[in-house]
Amino acid sequence: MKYEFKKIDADTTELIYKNKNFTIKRDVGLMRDIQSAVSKAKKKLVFDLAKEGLTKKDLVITKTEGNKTYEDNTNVVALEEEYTNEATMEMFDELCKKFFKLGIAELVIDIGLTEEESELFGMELMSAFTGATSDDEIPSKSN
Amino acid sequence: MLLQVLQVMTKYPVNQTRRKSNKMFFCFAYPSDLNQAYAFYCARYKDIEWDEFLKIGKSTFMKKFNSMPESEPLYTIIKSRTMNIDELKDKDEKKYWRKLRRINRIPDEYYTSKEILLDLSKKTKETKL
Repeated sequence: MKYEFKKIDADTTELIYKNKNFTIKRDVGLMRDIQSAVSKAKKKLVFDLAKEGLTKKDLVITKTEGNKTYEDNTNVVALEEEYTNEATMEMFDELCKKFFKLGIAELVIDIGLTEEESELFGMELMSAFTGATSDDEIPSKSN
Repeated sequence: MLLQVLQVMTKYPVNQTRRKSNKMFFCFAYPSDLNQAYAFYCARYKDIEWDEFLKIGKSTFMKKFNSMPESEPLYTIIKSRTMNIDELKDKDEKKYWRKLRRINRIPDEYYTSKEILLDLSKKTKETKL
């Protein structure tokens, strides 16, 4: 194994590779940052649309059938998903810089991971940041 | 793949409580509720600086957070978000808690539009287009 995630206590995990040792502490500040990703993405989307002279409503397709009006929000959802992914990637990268003094791409290179190995590493790193395990249910407002 | 993993991360509520039905319920929005939590922590445990508070470990914070007394405003806020109002018998009480739930609801900015629309479609039972 080129790297190891070692659980120190309920809030602390260590990343060990090539005789390097980094401590990841899941504190209140980190949790606040993680939970802000969606909010940041949504704000950025609104501001970017405003620059184009648009609002989210302009992306909604409205269809009228008799007395009923239907709204198709597919465009809003798709665009917002892109922004959320981007914001999450940025946040993830910032967290890596904060803890390892390297961005995520540089970190993967520094450990010497292949593309396939980096996928698993990404998942493990995410768990180290959030404290979530694979056994956890992934809840959302919808469930 | 990494992207998919990250999508999951944004949906993962940092704090949740488990209802009887085992459904996870998003009941605490860190950025907006954190000021109240900080005030509670300082009043009950130790008067510390904000930066110091942000460095408290998640599980330590949760342990202290879970022993919050009913007199705390944040207790009422979270209770209004999580309690099953339909179980209440008194009409006025129901009205009171519904009002509180409306006032204290977690802002939509913490949910993706997809989640909001899904929730809305369940409530209205409209799925067409």
